[in-house]
Amino acid sequence: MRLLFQRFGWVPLVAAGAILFYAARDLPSMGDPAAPAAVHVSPRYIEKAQEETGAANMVTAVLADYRSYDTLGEVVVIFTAGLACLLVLGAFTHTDTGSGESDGEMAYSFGSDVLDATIRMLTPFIVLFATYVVVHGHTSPGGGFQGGAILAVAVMLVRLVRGGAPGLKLSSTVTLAVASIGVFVYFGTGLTSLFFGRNFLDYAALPLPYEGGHLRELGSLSIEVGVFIAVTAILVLIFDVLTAGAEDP
Amino acid sequence: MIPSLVTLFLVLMVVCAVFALGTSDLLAAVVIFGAFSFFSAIFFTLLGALDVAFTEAAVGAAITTVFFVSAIYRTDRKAM
Amino acid sequence: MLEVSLSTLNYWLAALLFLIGLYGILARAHLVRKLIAMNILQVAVIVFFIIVAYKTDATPPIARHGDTEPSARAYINPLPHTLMLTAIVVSVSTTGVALALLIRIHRRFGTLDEIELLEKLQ
Repeated sequence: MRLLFQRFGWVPLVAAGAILFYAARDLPSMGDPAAPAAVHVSPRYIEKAQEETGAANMVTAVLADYRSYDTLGEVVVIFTAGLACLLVLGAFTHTDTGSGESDGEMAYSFGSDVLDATIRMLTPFIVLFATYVVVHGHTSPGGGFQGGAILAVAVMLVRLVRGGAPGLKLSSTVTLAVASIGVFVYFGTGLTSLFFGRNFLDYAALPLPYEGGHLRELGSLSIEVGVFIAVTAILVLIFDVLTAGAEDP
Repeated sequence: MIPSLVTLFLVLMVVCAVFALGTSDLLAAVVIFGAFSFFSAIFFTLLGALDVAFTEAAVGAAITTVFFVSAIYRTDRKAM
Repeated sequence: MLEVSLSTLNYWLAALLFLIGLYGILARAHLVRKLIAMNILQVAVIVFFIIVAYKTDATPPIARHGDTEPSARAYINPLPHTLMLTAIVVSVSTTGVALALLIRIHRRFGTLDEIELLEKLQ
């Protein structure tokens, strides 16, 4: 049966390909401004985004303000993925440092001098850039996810070159707790709005002394910070789980 | 000139994908997959999707490649 | 034979990328190669949505300085971009969990080839 798939696996693909290629000729021409995708719903988001939400970046306005409930689902998805990784492989990340390992627990910290000098110069700029990307998510391309990914890359870089201890190695429990704080900040912003008598994640109800677009901008900034903390912690946790215990029993 | 540049990058992506699935060394496949992610990030920038290109370059090219390499390190490397 | 415009060619190339990913999942026996093919499939879907969102003679969806009345004709559609950000994050989460499962399988059975795994599971 398996050999059948390997020999003739291309036959259903040819059929599917024929259907896809035939249907693609009926799609609207690329870049057509009168295509149905450009006429429903999105003109309202483009025209009203800056005055209602205070964000010049329309993608962040849709992601953090108009459709913030979907973004909450996305943060919970990545949190669950980190939890699942920990459950599948977590039993092997027990690091007993008393077994004579030289530096930390990772077997592939490279430790060469050239890499060491390079990361000493690069890491402060990477961390600064990650924070810049999060805070400026409203007026330039960026946001919580991008900043979280870049900060996670900075942490991974230091750990790959110099081992666990200089790379801020925390135990899995503490990293998971930091990620939970991120999700809690996001959820807490929504619950605050609920507490003050309006809908869930309605930023007009936040108890800050600002008005209108400025208030909504601050609300979306607070959820972006929550997303930033959660994404960084989860990506570092998955990296931890995948690389720990490299000496197999 | 711009529309045909988009088509050129799509062709490059298809070539990278075919090679990533065709080599017999897994580490080479993962490195070509990293190149595929970078080509897709440039493609998204050409079509004006800046946030998507940013996220794809940071997540797909850097983080996914590191995950794959660490997983291959702990399992075997020669595969078909 | 058939007259095909440039935009149809772009859609066909996105469909071809999707089919390459699908072929990798079906016909390759090693589990890591299936995972790489799954990622190629996800990138192909994202490519398709970004092609749909494009408008000619329009700038990326960031309001220009001092532009108080943005018109929908002058900016690229931001809604598919938002959906694709979620798709990228879900894709990296799935890849992380799948790699953890693969390491566990290798530790338990000693092989990552699908044919040998099926024999060992009998």
